[in-house]
Amino acid sequence: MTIRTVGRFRRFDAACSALDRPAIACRSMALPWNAAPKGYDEALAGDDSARGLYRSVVETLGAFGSEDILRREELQEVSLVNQGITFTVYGEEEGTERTFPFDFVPRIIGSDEWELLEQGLIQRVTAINLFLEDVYGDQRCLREGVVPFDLVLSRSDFRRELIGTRPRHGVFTHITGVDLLRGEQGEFLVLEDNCRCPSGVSYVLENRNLLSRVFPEIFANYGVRPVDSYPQMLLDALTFAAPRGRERPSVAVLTPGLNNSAYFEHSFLAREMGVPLVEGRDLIVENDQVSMRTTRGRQRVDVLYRRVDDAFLDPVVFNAGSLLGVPGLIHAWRAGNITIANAPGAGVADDKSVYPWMPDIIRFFLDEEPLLAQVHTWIGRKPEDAAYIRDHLSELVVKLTDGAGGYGMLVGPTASKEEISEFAAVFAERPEAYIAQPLVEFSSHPTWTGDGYAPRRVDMRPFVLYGESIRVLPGGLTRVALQEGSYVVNSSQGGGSKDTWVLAEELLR
Amino acid sequence: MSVMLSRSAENIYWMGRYLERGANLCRMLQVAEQLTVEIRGLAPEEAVRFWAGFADVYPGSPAVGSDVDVDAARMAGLHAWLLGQGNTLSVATSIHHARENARAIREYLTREVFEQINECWLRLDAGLRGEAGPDALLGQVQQAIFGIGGTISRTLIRDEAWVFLDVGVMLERVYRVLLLLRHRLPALMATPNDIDIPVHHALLRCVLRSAGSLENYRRVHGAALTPRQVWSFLFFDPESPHSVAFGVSHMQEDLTQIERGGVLTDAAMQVGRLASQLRYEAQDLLGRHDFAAVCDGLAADVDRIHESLTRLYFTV
Repeated sequence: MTIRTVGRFRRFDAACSALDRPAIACRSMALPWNAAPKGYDEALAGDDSARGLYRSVVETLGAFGSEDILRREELQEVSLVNQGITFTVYGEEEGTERTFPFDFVPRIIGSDEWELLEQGLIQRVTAINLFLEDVYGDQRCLREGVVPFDLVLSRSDFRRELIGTRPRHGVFTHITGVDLLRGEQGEFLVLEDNCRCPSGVSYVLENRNLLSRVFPEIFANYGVRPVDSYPQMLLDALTFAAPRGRERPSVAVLTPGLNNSAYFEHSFLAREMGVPLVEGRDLIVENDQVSMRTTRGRQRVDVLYRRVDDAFLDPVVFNAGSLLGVPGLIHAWRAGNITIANAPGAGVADDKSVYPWMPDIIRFFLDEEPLLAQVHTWIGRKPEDAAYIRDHLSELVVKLTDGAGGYGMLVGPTASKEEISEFAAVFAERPEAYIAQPLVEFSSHPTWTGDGYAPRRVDMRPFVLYGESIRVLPGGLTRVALQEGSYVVNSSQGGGSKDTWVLAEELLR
Repeated sequence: MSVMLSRSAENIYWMGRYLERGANLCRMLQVAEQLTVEIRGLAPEEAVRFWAGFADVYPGSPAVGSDVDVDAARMAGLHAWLLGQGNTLSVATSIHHARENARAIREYLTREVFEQINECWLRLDAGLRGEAGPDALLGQVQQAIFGIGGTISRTLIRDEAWVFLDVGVMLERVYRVLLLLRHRLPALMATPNDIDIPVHHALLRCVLRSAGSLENYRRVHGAALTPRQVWSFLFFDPESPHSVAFGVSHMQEDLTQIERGGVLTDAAMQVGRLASQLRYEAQDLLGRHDFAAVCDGLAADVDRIHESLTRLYFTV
């Protein structure tokens, strides 16, 4: 097991004492801030001046010399390594842990804009849940042709075994992560929904913690809405979802185990909520009741916040070879004896082939116009769309419908001729497995590069919780493509993250 | 968190055992280092034997340090027992396992405890990657392990998790002290007059220091050093934290806390019997001449306690 870090490991206290030295804050050494040459720049206007919300941050950071910044950045890195805030990388040496690079320049969203975004997210998550309830229930939206019948039923995440199942309160996605981009005019666009086991919220909380310790000065003129209430919000949502008649429901987080890439987050959430972190082998189902093996014998579990994919949840119903799941779990869930969050089968709503129909789904179930726009999408299963994709590979971003993490995709405009030609052959074999979107020139944000500030592309994943009501965490995971010119923000492919500030009110000053 | 998963209880128990093992090994390595300096001119073969004797206290580990040359034995021993490439019972392996167990139960630990364990492992990892030599590393790692113990003591809530951690620490400590005495003391008891008194005393002090008890022994017995007194102290002293009686008594308290007045379990009965034996049969035990057999018998009892704990709490 190794931990990959940017710098060599140094004693944390040595780095702290480095911070104690007087800051070298000298305006004459101020580093330049340049706006993005293409697309929308979140912080800077075309003349490189700071936008209103960013003025104080740019001014404060501009007063630090590069030596001071580097010292603080080192402290930041040491802090991440020592705290074990890491993710596991698959496909490398077994158990390789990496820190998720953190960029200290915060992303800021004003209160008015956030309010609109929040409404759009609540609308979208409401529609997603009504859609899922319908798909596994009456299938009205399929029968009325809102979404093609065969499209939904052919998705690998549609669970035929679960037809007729309605989770408590009709909620399938207790936790949803919605990936957003800003288009060229600065408008938010939904890129995709994550309805299964959206990850990243632990970094939202840890990033805030880290930034406030390492760069406390930059908070001075802002009323930033806190994010540390998330564990309580999550526990409330999970408790509300408990089966009927459970007065003090017992909640647990289900993890695939130590080697899962998001294990840190599973452990973090269990710790913050004060609930057990269980693996499949800790659970047992008898008479449709789920229990965990404890030092005092078996104890009933009422709500399972699972971070295990559907396919591995229950070897009796899904993947028979799964060692991560619990035999009989789905039967217990169908019997109403346990709540599984998110509900099995929820993944059909975030399938990339279903995504193009989301505006229609919102209109059908809510009789409202979508508040959030989304990216135009061509679907490989439609012959005319497949032909278009094939002929325009060099202009499009092509993705596997059930892919994630930036794997198996082609970013046409930045790909070489050889890559496009190789991808064309793969696409021709199974066009129905792909969708394509135009390359959105999504927004950039000033980011520290080691020797100055430069624009780098960013997306954002807000987290939406569905309990007694739908609540959105005021913030989200801002991921940043650290390579110059890159459009790929995924942590597994060299992306980093930023603290995301939602302001309670606009600048205090 | 009132419910303790069986797997988590096992993880924290082993975390305690591995941390204690790491601490014991560091201490023994420091002792061996000092002994080498002290007696290499007087009795180099004793120094070499001391390095080779690690394998007796940690059975199952590869034999290291049987070279005739003191320096070669020292370097081989230091590498094998600190960094332990190929040795599953080294400090590095112990701390690695402690960290893996800690990762599995982070929700039971304070942030400070996990950070301390992680930092300790990162130091050893740097050593394994050749970024730090074993000489400099040994002291740093020992300090780091002491830091972990202090942080645990100051920050962890005294709930069931803490009790399992403490049982793990105490069981490992008692077991290793018994093996240490079993293999280091008989030779000193049998032939005190055959070797130089300075060397003899140096070796006796090493036994006490290996068990972290030299200063405590002196507070009770002064400067007088005899093998039998060392035996008596490390077996029966109720207040010295590395004595067998102290460890067993702690385990007894821990198990009482876990059971909370419930039915007496096998493990509790076994620990109770052992505690009574140490409390009421001290004179009989001290009168026996088959010291090694006494140690073997007690070590087997400790092994049985471990098995009972596993059966009762970890494989529900």
